[in-house]
Amino acid sequence: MSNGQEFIKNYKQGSDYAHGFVTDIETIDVPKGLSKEVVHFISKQKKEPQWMLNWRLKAFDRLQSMKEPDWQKPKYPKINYQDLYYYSAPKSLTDQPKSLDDIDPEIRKTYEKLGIPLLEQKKLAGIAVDAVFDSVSVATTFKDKLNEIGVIFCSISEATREHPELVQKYLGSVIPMSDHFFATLNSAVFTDGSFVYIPPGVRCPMELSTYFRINASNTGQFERTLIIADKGSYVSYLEGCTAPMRDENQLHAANVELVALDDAEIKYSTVQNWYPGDKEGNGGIYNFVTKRGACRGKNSKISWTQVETGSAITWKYPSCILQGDNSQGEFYSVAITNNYQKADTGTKMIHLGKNTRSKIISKGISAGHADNTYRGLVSIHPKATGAKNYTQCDSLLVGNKCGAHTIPYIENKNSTSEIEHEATTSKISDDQLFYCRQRGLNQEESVSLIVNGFCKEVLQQLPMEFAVEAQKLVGISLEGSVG
Amino acid sequence: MIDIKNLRASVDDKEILKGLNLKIGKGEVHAIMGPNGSGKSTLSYVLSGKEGYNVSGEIQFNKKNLLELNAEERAREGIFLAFQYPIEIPGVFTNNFLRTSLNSVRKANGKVELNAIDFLKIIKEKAKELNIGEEMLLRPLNVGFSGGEKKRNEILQMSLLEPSFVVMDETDSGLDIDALKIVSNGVNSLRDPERSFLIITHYQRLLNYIKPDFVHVLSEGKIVKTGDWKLALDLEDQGYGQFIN
Amino acid sequence: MENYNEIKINFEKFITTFKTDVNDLEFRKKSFANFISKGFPVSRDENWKYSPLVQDLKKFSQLNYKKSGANILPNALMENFEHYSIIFADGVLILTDSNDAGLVIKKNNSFLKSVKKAGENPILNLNNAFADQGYLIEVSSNISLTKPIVIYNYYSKNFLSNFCSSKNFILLNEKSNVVVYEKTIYDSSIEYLITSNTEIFLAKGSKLKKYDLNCNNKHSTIFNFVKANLDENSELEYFTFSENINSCRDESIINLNGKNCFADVNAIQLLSNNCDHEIKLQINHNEEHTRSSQFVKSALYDSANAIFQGKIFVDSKAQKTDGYQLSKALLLSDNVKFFAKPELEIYADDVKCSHGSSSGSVDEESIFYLRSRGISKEDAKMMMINGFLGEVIEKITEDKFKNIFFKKLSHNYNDD
Repeated sequence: MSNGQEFIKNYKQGSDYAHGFVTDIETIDVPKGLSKEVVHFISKQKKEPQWMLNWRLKAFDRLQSMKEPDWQKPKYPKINYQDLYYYSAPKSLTDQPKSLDDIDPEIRKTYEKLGIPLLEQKKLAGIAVDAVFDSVSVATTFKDKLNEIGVIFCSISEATREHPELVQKYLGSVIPMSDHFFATLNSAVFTDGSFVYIPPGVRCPMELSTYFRINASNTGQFERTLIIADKGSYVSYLEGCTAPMRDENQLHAANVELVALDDAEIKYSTVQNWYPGDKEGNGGIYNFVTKRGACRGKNSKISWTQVETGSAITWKYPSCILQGDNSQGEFYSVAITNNYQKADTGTKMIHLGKNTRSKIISKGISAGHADNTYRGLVSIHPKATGAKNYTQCDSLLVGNKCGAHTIPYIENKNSTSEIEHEATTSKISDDQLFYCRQRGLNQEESVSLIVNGFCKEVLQQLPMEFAVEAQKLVGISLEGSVG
Repeated sequence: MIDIKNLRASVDDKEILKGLNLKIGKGEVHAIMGPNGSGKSTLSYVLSGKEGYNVSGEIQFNKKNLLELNAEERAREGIFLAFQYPIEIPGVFTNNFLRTSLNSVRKANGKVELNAIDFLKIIKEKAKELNIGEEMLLRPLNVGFSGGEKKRNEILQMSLLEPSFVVMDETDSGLDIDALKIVSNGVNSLRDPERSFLIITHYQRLLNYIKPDFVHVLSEGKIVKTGDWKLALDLEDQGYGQFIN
Repeated sequence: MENYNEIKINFEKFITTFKTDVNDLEFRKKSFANFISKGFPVSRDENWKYSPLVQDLKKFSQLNYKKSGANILPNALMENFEHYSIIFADGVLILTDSNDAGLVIKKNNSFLKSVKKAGENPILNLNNAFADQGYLIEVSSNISLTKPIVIYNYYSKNFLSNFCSSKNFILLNEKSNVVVYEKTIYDSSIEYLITSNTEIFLAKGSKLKKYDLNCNNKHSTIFNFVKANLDENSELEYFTFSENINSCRDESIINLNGKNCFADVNAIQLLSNNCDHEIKLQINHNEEHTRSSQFVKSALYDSANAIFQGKIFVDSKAQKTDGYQLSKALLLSDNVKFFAKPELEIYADDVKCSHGSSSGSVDEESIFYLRSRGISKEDAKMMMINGFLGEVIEKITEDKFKNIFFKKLSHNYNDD
């Protein structure tokens, strides 16, 4: 079987979170709290050039006058930003490991438990992995092989040192530094994440992926990812996320920027399975993420696919700014909330260029006491002649203690454009369940089967190896919700 | 009646008709057969004046240069296209549409426009001949019509507007044998020494019911062979392979 | 914060001269205080995002509620079918109370207890504070009125006030039936703010059909707020036709409180020039086995803006809800804008809810089909638009009114 299975395998045993273990290692932490000193400290740890530090400090200054947004549906207790750690790194990584084999065996074991072998001889075939542990990238596989064809795949920290011209040109060019509170916070204190550059005309021969792991307690993870697809190139990128079970809520505020130049295509897939909290709603990750792609060149394409099953609160809108003529944006999403989980997710499709196209397929499943909101914007600007959008939002409710909501914003300012939006809400019918059970499936298998059918259009978008496992994850996430 | 010379048509720089020549005399029935993608539908649209094609060449119709006329002017000159997929228009009622259409054509030809009562008399009679229920006339245009109903509605319009040149685009597609008979009878009853037909079809089936005087084979935007109706039978036996390089 | 001193002075002047009972007075004061605390709405407020009123209300830092004008409706504007009439002429209600076989129509200046809730809506608060005109319609149990009630809102050339407010009640007792037709005629050429609030109560098994015609307003800013409460087995059919309305928000909240009640809400926005019209509609399914349908179509010319914000809310106990919503817009010139926010908020699982929204230009294939039948391009386009809007009029269940609105539609096109 495929290696991708390993990647997502063992997510849960029964309905318990299988990735809830803690790795016991020595770490270097900064004192709690957000301050200029912390920003200096992070920059120094990363051995960043001066311009990068200045950029962070500018963001820090801007942050002082900004407020957290509060328009989202899921409300959460006020976060005390002075009570968080902004940097945590395994001590063993103070001096960069020379090769993958030098990585601290404890960390290596962690990734092995998660199904991601980092050792050279065990690497996943056909998938290059950047593994991020709390605030640092611990390893990037297949680097040399990618280098041969000019593809740069490394941690963002390394990129600021090794490829400053690219980072300076593109960092913050899609998500402006002071876009909103969390984006600005991230700009000031981001720790690690991946950097990808695909040179003109290159079709990246393997899936690139980043695996994020939050380990330390009371630590915010502020990942930053930047992907640039130069003219006529193609890349498929996948991220996965897990965290230990802890009673307190942990903040994950990432910024992801994608840039597609003329005729380039980026496919970005996410399988998000952060710790969702326990059955009573205690603990879990606050997943407040800003993801935005710019189709800057003509005929460029950015496609977001997300399977969101974890986190206590998910609040994210992977978006596309369709600047280039004939560019295309896609958003495929499955968001599953169970127990007390809350999700407010969707996308923004901003049509600026001529004949731009966008497609939104969103499937929300809500069970237990959970709340699931699709929120999306389709905006067609006056110059976007011939633009087209199609949106389909479907919600599935399991039980009557949960909520499913659809809040689309549609702004059409060009008379030659077309926008189509459809939304439905339904439940798993007793007839469907009975039919499956009559054919010998048990309750949970039946639910899993029906829900997977409901999500099929989205799951099909995932790279094949992951699609199979994502299907299993969909079933597991809903365990215990029917019956 | 109609004389087509070196007709070329392209969409987005893709040439579909590549120098087509065809002459149809008064009262003649011609059939054009061809494989998918040979340009059959494009020909029907170019003849009836659909916008969006880059057209060159010549089409003489009753001494007029057809290419200078827009869609409605051609309709008023007597060109009628029976659509392969008649368009559904919600909110526009069939009888209203038919009267507006008939009166536009009558007006352009210097005839008196019909009032609602006279129109109703005519339309009821014609509908009956084609086995079209009156309730169908009260429904929005083609909305919720079955495939057969849509095609019969096309023939009804044809008999109402009394065109001199009829282009039928794959009229047989999606029809069962009974509907095909009704439609063919409708067409045959409209055959007239003053009226010409161009029947565009993929299959020979329709030509069993409406016998053409000439059969042409269209391939890659050109007419590659012309014969009498026996050519259609050959094609049914041997397929289009012999004409495709 | 804007300066509301002038409005405060106006309010003080108003309440010293306006006769009302103590409880109502307190409610007016409280509503006014609520208004002042928040001021006119801003677009940051999610409820007022896109609303044309956010800009246009700025013109009314002074509210002159003085009565003026003709106070009479010209005979030529009266409908020529038999009906009961309620006339607002230049903001003043002209009404001879009628007490006719189960129908009461009277002037009413007081609030019903059930509406006296301090609200969040700033303009509704303003209406609560200032509303000095209003009618009350009450239909007795088991009465089906054969004649419709027609409400005329007429603003004459002599109208000088810049502000008028009304609060009205329509009460249908069990198993009663009535048709209410409301039309607004604007002849005045000054800028004024109109706020109106109509509260509708439908008791078990009753049925209200309300048809509104609102057209050709070039100068005023309008806030219409309708709230309806539906009991078991009751039905509300509500249609609004808005044509060339300068600046207006039509807001409705419909509460489906009893089993098997049904709200059928349909609307047309036909706008040209700089018209700016907003429909905000919320349907609350508060009880099981309730049904609702929303069908809204917009045709936009020149630089017109149309906004449709429709929401279906389903409470966790409202199982077996059937909620449907469809909005479609035709964008007919380069500078028009259409905003839609079709929203679903659902807390029950055994429901059937859907919405759809589309916007774009007239279908070219259809235009070609019509032209290939000899119909000119202009006529074809007109037919298409007519048919597009006509689908909404088709939903009207009273033939007399269906014809009135169809006529209105064809008249509109003949003018072009």
